[in-house]
Amino acid sequence: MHSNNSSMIEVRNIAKRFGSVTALDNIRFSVSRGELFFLLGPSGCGKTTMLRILAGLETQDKGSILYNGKDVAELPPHKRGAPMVFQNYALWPHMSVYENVAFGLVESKTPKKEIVARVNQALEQVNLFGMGNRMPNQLSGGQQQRVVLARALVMNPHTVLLDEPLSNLDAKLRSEMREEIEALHKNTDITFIYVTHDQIEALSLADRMAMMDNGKICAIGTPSALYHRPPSLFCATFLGEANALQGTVLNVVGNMVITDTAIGKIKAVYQGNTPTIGTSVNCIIRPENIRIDGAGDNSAQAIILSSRMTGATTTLLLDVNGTILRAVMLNEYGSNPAAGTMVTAVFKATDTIVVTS
Amino acid sequence: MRYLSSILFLVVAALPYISMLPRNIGNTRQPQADEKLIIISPHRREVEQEYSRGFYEWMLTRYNRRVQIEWLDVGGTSKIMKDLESRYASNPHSPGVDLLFGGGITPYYQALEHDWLRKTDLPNDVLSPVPAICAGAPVYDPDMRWFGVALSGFGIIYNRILINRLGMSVPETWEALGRPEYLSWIASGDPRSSGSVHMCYEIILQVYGFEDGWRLITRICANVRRFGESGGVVPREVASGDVVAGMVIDQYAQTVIDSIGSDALGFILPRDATVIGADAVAVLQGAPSPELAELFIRYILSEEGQRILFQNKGVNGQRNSLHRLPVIKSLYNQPDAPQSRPYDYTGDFVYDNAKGGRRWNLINDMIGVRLIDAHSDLVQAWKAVVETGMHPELVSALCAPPMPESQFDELAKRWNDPRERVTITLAWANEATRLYNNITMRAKQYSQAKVSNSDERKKKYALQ
Amino acid sequence: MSARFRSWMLFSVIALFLGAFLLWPLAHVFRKALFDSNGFTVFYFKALVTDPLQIRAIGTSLFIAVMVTIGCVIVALPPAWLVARRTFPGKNMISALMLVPLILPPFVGAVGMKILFARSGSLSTLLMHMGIVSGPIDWLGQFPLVGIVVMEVMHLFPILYLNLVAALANIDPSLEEAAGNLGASPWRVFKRISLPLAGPGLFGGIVLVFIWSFTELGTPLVFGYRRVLPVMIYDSVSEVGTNPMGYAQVTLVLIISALGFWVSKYISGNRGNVATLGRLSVSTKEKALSLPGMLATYTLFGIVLFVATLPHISVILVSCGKRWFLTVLPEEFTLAFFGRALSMELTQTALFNSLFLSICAATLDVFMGFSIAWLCVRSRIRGGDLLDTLAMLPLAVPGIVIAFGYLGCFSGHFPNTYLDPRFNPMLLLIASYSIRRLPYIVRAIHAGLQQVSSAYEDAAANLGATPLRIIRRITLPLVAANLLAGAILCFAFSMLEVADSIILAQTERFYPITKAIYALMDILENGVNVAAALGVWAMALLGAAMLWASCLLGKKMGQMFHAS
Repeated sequence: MHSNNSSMIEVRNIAKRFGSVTALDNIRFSVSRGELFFLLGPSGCGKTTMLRILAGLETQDKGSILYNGKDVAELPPHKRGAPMVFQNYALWPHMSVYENVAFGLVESKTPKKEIVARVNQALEQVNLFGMGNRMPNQLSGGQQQRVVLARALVMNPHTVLLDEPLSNLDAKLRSEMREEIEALHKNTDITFIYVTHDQIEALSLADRMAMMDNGKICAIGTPSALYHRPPSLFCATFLGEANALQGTVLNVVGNMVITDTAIGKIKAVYQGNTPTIGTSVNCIIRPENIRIDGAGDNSAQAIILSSRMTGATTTLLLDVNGTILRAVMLNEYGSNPAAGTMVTAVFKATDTIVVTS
Repeated sequence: MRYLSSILFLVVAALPYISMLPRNIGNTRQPQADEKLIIISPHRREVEQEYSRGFYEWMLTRYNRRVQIEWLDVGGTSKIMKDLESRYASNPHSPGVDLLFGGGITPYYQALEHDWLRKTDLPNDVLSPVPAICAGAPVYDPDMRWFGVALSGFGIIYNRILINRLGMSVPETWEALGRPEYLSWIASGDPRSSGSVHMCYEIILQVYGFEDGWRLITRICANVRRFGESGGVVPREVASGDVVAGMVIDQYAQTVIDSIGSDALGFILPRDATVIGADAVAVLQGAPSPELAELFIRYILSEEGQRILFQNKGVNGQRNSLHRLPVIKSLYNQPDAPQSRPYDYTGDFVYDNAKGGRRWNLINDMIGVRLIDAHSDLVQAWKAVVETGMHPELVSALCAPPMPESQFDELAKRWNDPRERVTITLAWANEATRLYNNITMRAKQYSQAKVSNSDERKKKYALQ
Repeated sequence: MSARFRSWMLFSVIALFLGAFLLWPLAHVFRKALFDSNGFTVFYFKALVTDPLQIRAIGTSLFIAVMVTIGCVIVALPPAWLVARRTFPGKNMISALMLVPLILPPFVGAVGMKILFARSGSLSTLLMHMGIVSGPIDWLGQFPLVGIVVMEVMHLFPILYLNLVAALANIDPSLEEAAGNLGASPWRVFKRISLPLAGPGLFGGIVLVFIWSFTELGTPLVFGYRRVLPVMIYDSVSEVGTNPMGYAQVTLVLIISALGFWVSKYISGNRGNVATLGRLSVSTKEKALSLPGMLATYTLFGIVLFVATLPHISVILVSCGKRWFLTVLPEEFTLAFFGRALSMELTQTALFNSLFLSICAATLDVFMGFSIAWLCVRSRIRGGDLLDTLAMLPLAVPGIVIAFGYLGCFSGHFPNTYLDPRFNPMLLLIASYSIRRLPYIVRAIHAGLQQVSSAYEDAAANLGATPLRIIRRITLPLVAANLLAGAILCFAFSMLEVADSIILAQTERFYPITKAIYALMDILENGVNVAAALGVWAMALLGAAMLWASCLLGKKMGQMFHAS
């Protein structure tokens, strides 16, 4: 793991408004050297704006950004040394692949020999060696994406900023590229800041991630922490699927909370501040944590409303006294319950998290 | 395609420039000049070209100075006078022009009133070959402020082919031009912008007197097909067959007759009143280079300068024949001299330049507003009157002078106040349109009455 | 120096230029028209609207403009609809040929037409030979306005045609199909659906044609019709320092043009939403024509093209025909006039002057046009829109107004300097040419910039390119085609700019081609033929320029001629 004290990028209290719209509100986070850091959030949440501010393409209204401990507020984009991978690639159509990749080196007045060597190396890195003479419109989408990556990597940057780099690719190419990015990250010491709205990319690649909503960061943490112990309802519902049961806190025992919900009393865990008795909370249960056999801390009688096979898993909709719960279980040939069956829905207290907001 | 079209464009664009190159190598296009003489003039380009060339060579051989003439072209004589007025208004000390050249003599009288002309003392031998008077009119100013350079006659140009074809007669007098048979077949320029056109009308006013002159001018203007701007319109329209005749200065007529052929066109100096007038030059007050300006005058009054006026193209490097008459009397005895002999001309009529100069603007405005601006109404009225069989009462109403001569002379003195000018011309415009429309109406009523009368008479005869 | 500061510098330089060469002269015109030595006065305006001849001249000018506009709509509408909605063999060719009239400045065409329709010209003679009439008919003398209107319609209808084709092509055909499907006849569909939707395009074109014909100086001048406002303004040029009437006339022209422009903006602004609402999909479907339809179409295009090229034909005939008088065709053919056109000092100087002026104007325009478009689209500095509006202003300000303003403004304030047109008009000619063409080039580059995603520039900045390097390496190459096309058209149209050339150039040394052509017509010895010879070359030049520009721009060519 990377240590926090060698923070490569520090973002302090950034705020930005476009007219009357608040795009970013008091954003704070720091990224360590070599970390693969994600900004995840629905479209319009301000994550791309944050990235463009990091690149210097937009200016913040308030707050400061530190690269390696130095404030870069006065630095124009071309002096920040943080190349960006654009969502729509932005490969210059009037330049060949080679010229595109060499662009940054030419601008920094690198000797010609070195340019040739470094461009070839970078193209090799992204498996495009020998394609230098092609024009961008002669490349496939995946190849274009690699050129953009090469264009950034050739600069030997301290940081690469990626703006939804995979969103224009089809599903298969996307998972391929995901692996390549992971490999690149492992083989270099570059800090990656990666913006996406795709939770799977974030969950599978991120060292750490910040979840954004409405111009604010609502959670920062490792993927597993954020998934299993979401700090808020938004975080829980945006990251994967979640059943949320509204309830009132009845009692707190150690790290356990007893809540009263529409399907009865539920035992759950909490994190952070101890919930006050009598307050209204949400209990979050991931669908894969609900079973319809065996025993657990919480259980309720339910009728199966529907049962839909989706490949590896089956999704069940359970009706518990009018409250709908979603459950997901691994498929087993011939053993899937049919709609209309009465079952008992069971889930562990350690899989049930109370969130206050 | 992009490539091809770019080549095509470049080729087309470059073509005239490339084809000009070989010519220019051999061409002595006034290599360089150290000094500049600025002349404002209504002269035709050909005339200007010849003087530029001639003066350059003259100065080079005599004084080893390279002088280039810059000709300011702001339009005809009337426009030049307005332009000079603007120039003196913006800078009373210098108009930025050295010489005023051409446009007859009358504008020079006008310029004298504004005190625009600078006195130039020429050596005796320069002026001695030039008679002081020609056909009763002065050739140069006794006070040495302007000098006649060439003589010109005003006459009628006509298209023989068209006249034959249409079965008309050749107009041999000014009066003939007012005959109804020429309705829509006469050409004229606008005196407000052309000095030579102005002269034609001024001559008529002086020959026939103000009131009779105005009556004739009204009829001529009513016969005009369409008023052009410059004096050049007349010979061109006659040559192209748009009209059969028009009043014109001799040199224009000669030039066109030369290029079209004397089988098609003819030129007449009217028996009743030919005016021989000088075409002058003068140094302007505040001229930037008065010394050069004086040298120019000495040049154009020298034999070399005078020969430019009439020698044929090809002679002494002349490029265009100008068909003009020199002021040096002895030149008429040379073999290649022009046929006309203006100094032998003895008409009864003597043109009064001073009078012409005083009322120059007023006449222009009066003809301009009453006869040219309201031309379509005038023509309509004239047509209607002609259809009545030239009903004498209507003819005299249509052609009546707007004021007696005495009042006219009075008005000429006050014609510089812009507001008064605007107010009066405005009143004229209204009055003229009303008059013409009224006459049209009356003439039509009269014609109808005549028709119905004769109809009734026919009926009566039929009954008997 | 920060990028922001540099933007502001650029902004100030351009604003200063436009202020000095566009706003100030206009302000001067207004001031002179409304103030004299006695202070504020509407005396001259009153004189303008109480003098029946002035009123008639204004009325005639408006009448010409209205008739030309109506004529253009009638001529342009059917071909535009056919090209936008139907397919037929040779459509692309025919569509391109429809632009041919634009390559001939109308006043040059008028030179040829004047001879073709002269009293003893081709048509009269032909009719006399055929025994249809007994004597010569004075077409232009009897119906001078018809001549002017026809001439201008023949020149201007392609502008409307381009606007209409573009507007019609933008309408989703499914909207028309839906109307047909609901029981509307094809004519009703056209009237109730296509026409209203094409409204903004149609209106933009109409206003352009209206202003153009309202202020056209060259054509009436050549036809010798002097009782129209532009010619009267031209006549008052020599009195610019002494008589304020000219200023009042110019102000009136300016007000009418600006009003037309504003109305068009207003109407197309109101209707613009309808059209965008209708743009559900971009696919256009064109129907094939039936055989009779095809024949009718070819006949229509044939007639339109024949009539529209009549001026071209006549100019060519005049340029190489000798003694064309009471005969159908010239009596002799010769190339001598082309030789004379190249050997006369007048034309030689004029050719070089125009080349110099047009190159300067085009360069200046490319610089200004790019800067303005860049400031508006990219740098988004405050006031960028203001600059854009200012750059579009010349669309509503006719050349005659600018030229008159310059003359009054600069020769009065800076006598005997390079700003005084009487001393040396070159600088002012460059300024007026470039300002006249500025809207077109700004629009061309604007369109180019908007198509180029700003991500290209962001990426370059991000990889270490300074703002200037970005412009040089990324932005400029990407809009090069638009830039070049704009520059070509600007160059070619500057070569053939009429009103400002005729008014500002007063010394033969500084004559541009158009003024030389005008001056040639005054030369008694075959001057008209030499003028026509120059006109033929001008025609070829503009034709080649349009061809090249359209190859560079493709279908976007039409955008250059929109009014709003």
